Amino acid sequence: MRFRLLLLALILPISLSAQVKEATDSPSMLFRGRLATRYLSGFNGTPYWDTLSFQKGTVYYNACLYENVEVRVDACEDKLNVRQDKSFASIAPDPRQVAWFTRGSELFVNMEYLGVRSPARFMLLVSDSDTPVFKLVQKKSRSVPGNHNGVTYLGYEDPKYDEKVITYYEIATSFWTLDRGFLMRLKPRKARKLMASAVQNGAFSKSLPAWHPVEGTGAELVAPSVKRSGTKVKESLPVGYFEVQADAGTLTETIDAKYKNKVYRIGIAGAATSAKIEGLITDDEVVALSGVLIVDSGTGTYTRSDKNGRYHLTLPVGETMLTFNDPDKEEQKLSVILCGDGVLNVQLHDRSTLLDAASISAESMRQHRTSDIGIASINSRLISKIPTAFGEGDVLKVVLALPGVQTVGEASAGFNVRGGSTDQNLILFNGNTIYYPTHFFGINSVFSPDMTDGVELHKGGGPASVGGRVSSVLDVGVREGSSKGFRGSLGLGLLTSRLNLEGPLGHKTTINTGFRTSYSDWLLGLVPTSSEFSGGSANFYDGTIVITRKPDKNTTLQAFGYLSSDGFSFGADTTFRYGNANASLHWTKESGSWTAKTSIGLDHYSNEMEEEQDASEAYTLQTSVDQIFARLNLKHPLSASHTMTAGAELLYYKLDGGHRRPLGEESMVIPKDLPTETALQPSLYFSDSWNPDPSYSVDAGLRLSSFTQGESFYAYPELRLSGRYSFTPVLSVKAGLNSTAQYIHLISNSSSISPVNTWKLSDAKIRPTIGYQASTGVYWTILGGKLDLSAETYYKHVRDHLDYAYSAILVMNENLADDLVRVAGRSYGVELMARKSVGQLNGWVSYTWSRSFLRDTQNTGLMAINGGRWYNSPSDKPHDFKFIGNYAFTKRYSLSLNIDYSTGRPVTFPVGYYIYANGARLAYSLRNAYRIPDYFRMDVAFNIDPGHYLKALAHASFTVGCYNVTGRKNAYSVFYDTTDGSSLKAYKLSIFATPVPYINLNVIF
Amino acid sequence: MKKSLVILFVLMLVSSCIYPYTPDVSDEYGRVVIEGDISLGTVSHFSANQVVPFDANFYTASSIGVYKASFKVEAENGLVYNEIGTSGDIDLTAAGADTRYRMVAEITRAEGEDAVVFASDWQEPAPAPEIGRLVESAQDGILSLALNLSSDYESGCYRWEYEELYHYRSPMGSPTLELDLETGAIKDHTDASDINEVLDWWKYEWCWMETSSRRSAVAIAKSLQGSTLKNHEFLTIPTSSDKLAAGEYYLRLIARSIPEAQYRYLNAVNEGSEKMGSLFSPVPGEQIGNIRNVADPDDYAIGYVGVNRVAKKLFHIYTPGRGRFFNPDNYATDILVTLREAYPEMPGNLLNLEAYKWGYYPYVYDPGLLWLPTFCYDCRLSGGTPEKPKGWD
Repeated sequence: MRFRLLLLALILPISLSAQVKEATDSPSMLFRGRLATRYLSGFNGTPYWDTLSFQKGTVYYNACLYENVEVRVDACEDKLNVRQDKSFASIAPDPRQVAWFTRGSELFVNMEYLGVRSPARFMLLVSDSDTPVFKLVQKKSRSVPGNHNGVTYLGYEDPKYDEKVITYYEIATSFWTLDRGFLMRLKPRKARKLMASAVQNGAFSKSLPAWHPVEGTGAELVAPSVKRSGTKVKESLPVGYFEVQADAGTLTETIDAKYKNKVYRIGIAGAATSAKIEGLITDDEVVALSGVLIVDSGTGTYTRSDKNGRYHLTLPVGETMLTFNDPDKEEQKLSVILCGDGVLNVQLHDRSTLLDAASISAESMRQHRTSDIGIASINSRLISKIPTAFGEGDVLKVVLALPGVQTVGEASAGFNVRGGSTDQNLILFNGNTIYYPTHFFGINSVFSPDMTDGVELHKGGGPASVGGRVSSVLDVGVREGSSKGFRGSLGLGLLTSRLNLEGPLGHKTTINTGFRTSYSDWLLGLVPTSSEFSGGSANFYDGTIVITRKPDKNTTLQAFGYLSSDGFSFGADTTFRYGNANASLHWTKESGSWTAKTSIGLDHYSNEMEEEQDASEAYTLQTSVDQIFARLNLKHPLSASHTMTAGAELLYYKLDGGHRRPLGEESMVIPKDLPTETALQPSLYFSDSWNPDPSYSVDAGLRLSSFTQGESFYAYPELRLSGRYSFTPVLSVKAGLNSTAQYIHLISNSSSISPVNTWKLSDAKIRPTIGYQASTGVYWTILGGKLDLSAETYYKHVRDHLDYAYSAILVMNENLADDLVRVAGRSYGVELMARKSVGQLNGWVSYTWSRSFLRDTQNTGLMAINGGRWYNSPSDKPHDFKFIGNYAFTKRYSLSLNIDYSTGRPVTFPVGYYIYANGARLAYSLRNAYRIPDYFRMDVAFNIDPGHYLKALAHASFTVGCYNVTGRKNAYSVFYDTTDGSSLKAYKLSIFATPVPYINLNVIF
Repeated sequence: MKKSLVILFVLMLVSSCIYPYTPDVSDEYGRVVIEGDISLGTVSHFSANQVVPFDANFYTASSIGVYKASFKVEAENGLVYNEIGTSGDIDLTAAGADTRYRMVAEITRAEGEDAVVFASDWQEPAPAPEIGRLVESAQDGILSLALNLSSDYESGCYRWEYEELYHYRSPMGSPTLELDLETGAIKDHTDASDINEVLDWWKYEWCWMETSSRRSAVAIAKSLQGSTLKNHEFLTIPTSSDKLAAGEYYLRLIARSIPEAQYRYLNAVNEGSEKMGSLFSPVPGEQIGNIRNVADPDDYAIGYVGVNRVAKKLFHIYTPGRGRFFNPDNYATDILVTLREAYPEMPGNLLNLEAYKWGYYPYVYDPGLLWLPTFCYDCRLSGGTPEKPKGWD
């Protein structure tokens, strides 16, 4: 026996080595041996579930039932293949929209659609008992074409081995059950035991959307019918759904791409090797969509739809795939056979889920396609995701989350862009100027999130078509009303509530209205009288209305109106009131290749203060700003590579410097009026956008602005120049130069702008502020378009900016110029940003290092601010870090996190005290020589979005969150007081010193 | 629901809070501070101190004052008015208003340092304002006084102080009992001539008290009614105050017109020390007045010295007398009880003498007696004088 074993031990290696030797000589010999059984059971040459054959079935897709189709399951790609019958090519419908499908008598469900975390989407329901059992088959490719030995551990004999099969797949089969919404893997023995009592059409099946057992076969294609029960019933595939469209006939025939997976033939075949495809992109309400990204998968060519929703591409003839991408819409991929020039109109549908936060993938592509530098776009959906104090979605809070944008502190109404002051930002709401952009101490902005449609911040001063402010242009768009039917939304929060109503007015007209109001006033009335807040009031309301009429497809008329009112007082002696009123008319006309937009409007801002501390000296103080504007903007492509824009603008200002009146019968105040200022500001501009090649482009513009007030006249040419070079489609560098002139100034000497601060026009003594900015940037998109990296640097120089003199009196001062000081400013910085736009986790992280300084250029010696040396500007914050993150657990549930860190702002601190006038007085340092403590804040919010069932009458969403989670007592200001009468103590004021929880309810109907 | 909403809202309101804070600043001290005005027609007073770190105590003079200071007023016509001794007072009663003036101060901050000369800028005297009527109003136990000032000086800015004189009585009035020093017996005081000379406290039931705000708070105001300051409340007195008890209250108002630059300076100094921290308060900053180092134009002293002429006006505010202010519980003492406990064997009359030695005097308090300290009877002990001071007629 021992001898036999010894002999076997000697012979076996020899025989094995002989086998190995054989394998290296013949490929077929490798597939032998001990792994043969694994090959037989674990590998076959098809990626499909169990067979590559199609079988009859029913598909529930995008809330529609498609019966009598043929289906096949791709277990490798986790997709579904569908075809009408064998005479047609199969398509792969968007798996995210497939809730379930049947194959013969089998039912497959999409776990991802149902919101269940799963290793794969499609699972076969094998038993629908009280404990449902699912089977999952997954396959992975284990060899490459032409290389049968691609994986070295393959080596066994298989009589079915076919050398012609070039791809082999490893199979993994598993069984699962559903327990309280979670998938649990079952051991095979347990699974077999449960399947022994297999049940069909049980509770789980009946819980699926629009589930009903498959009844009968052989139904013919019928016209779609809609039943108003929430789901379409038994709708067969529409006629022509799968068929490849026949020749279009004429070049001008327009094709409407209604069906997601249809193949479209464009144009008439000819001798040309390339053809132009163009069209109009609209949404469900047939409203033009601008900024939609269109990418050709064949050549990589891409473009964007313009403001009128039109696009055009020149592509090689042949078959290709066009992808239409918009942040708020379902992505459309259309198979196209391009034969000749033609028109393909596309309608993009609302997303049924909010999972894919591709909010700025189109934005990232714009970085590599245009010369725009220092521009950030924000879509409306992002506004509601970022946590804010008291949960109110806010446009300005999102703007503050961008790199290069800062604020002097919480409860501050303004913001600072690249070291500029708050009045150096032009804030436009549908083209109207907003002079005071916040309510309620800066907690809410004047822009209702329901009414806004996209926000764009130009940090470099803006395009040539806008001007008047040195630092930035914040352009907030307004959303048109729905043309499909009346709808609305209602939002309820801790402090405010809002209502939005929109809908059609006839066939060609729509209306969109929004109202907001606060109820903090009556809450303050409930505060006990012993509280220091007793007797106070704080309230606001605002309303927006947009009426849009489109008499034809080339003409748009729009009327816009906005009204707001704020009032607050803490204590009985001082009350503040202020408000905005704006109205405008816009007319857009397209004629051929020309686009003209004409706008007229008026803007009004007024404020009032009542001071009643001393009855004999009680008074009211009122100021106001009125502005009338008229604009003409023209756009025309001069050639394939040149697009010209030109226009004119006329502004008329009327500023009331102030009116003081006695208040009450006992007041002895003599009425006083400061003179009213009026001025004209006409401007002309011209710009050319040159895009000769996808790898580089140049935008050059010139704006001639002028200003007339009384005998004062100023005129300046403003340059707008930027260029781009793309080394690759995802790596670009840009540079820009611009200059801007500002003729209106906000007069304020407080850290935070007050609603009663006055505006002042340039005149003989107050020169316009002129700003110059140079900037460069590098932009790199990596990880297949998932991550955008950017680095921008800038240098700004400003002259004739205004600071205030020592002991300045800025209210009701007829010689205001004597209390103001001309200063020069300089600022520079680097803005780094990494942004992820797709996937479950999306958002951005940014770091900005910047400095900003001012210097008195008017005075010298001791009377100059800080002795005439450069000093920190109030907005100088060297370090600024921001993190905005949103993680979507499922389609409905997401978590938002916001982190904000910045260096403390400069302040003037007392550095000692002295006795004067029988009291302790503070001796101060040089202006802005010190800083308050650094600012850090973290906010978190949990969002529950509307459910899947899009056809429900109303959808509710909740947001639960906490502002300032860490409860950090960020300092807003520092002041001093005597405590025991023998020494001075310092105190800091914190606006939000504790975590502030909130809950918001939104109902969409 | 209402309560929970209020709680949530109050949570928001109280989440804004004030906390102690220690800023990291470099203490700067040693800058000279000069206070005073050149007031023609009266005695002007000047003083000097210096900026000290925050941990210095208010009341430690050595840490606030300067080592040595001397002042003079120079007129552009060549006249010089020197300080009276080292008091800081300069008599300008004879100074004319037809020339410009400036203050010159020689300051030595600390012992061993060189003296530094500071000077204010030359200014013409602002005219004396016209003092209008004093408006009285009483409500809720408070008497409010409001002044009226007018001037041709277009700044409409004023500065004033006031002096007070009032007649008041000791709390308990004259004693009605007397102590026989020989027997220690207490008997009614019926005949003043029989009273021992030392027991003459009844003579000091009524006194005159004189106070001044001249070297205290600087009051300023800018008129909202052109250049006339109308009905500007500047003083409140509780109607229960001793000042008004006797019905003879005199107030001398001393007012000046000041240039707007001086008003702004003083106002900024006030606001920079008092009105801070709120959302819309002006950003404070170093205040540079009009006092410069003669040798170094980039060095300055804190303060603003203005030149003006003074207007004075005397007001008599009459209020009906309230009678004797009596609250024996505030003054009563159990001195005799204490003495009895200490000296239980001492007879009563000796206890009386012992109480007398301790400075107490008997007072009838039905049904018994109280022993009260002498300041209850002697108004002089409160700082007043039996005779009316001169200059108040």
